[in-house]
Amino acid sequence: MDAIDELIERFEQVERVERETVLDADEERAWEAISDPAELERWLADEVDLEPVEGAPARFEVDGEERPGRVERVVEGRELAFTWSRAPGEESLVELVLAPCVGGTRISVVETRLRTGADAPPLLMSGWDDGLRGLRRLAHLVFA
Amino acid sequence: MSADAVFAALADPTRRGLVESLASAPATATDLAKGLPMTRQAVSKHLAMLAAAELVSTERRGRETRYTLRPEPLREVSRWVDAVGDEWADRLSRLERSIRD
Repeated sequence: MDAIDELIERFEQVERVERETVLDADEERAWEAISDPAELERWLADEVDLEPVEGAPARFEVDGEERPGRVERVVEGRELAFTWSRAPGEESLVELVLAPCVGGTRISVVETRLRTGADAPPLLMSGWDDGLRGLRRLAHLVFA
Repeated sequence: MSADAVFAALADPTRRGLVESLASAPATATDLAKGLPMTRQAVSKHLAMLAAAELVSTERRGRETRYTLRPEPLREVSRWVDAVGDEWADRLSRLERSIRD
């Protein structure tokens, strides 16, 4: 992939990050790892207050910084989604999804930045009459 | 400069047109207005918004200002993805280790 394609790809994903890996664990063990606060403190954040109940408030501490949040979706044994705020007005949705696979359980993570309040509209392309095509054209022109 | 400010500045098709023109060479508002159905003053207003988003730099040339495109803010937009992506890579490694232990 050349530099321009890579850049365009990153623009397209500007508000969204996806990662996944396969855990050497069955689904039950994997679910425990993503839904039990004590387990979450081993990998997700330094401190985790979270009850896997939709709508429940949650709190995380990462590198000494507090991240308030909320549990958004719970599919027992399968999926946990919550929001957290890295800073006021910088809220994002984190979706953790489990699926059985060869060798264990696949976990996929999607973090999507949410736009609320005054700086709301520009979810990347809103207001762009020609949307992504406009961005591609521009990126080619500017970085060619 | 926030990604929001950059994308808001670029959300307008006229301003994107100006960015495209400036991608080929620096120009003044007068130069840019020549090919457009608008006054030099209107072009200047759009250029001011691009300057506020730090997408163009300005340089005084006699009685006119010359505008040069700065691609850096566009590059910086991808920093959120880089930073958050790195965080998740680290977290998932910790999770893998935590599960094995």
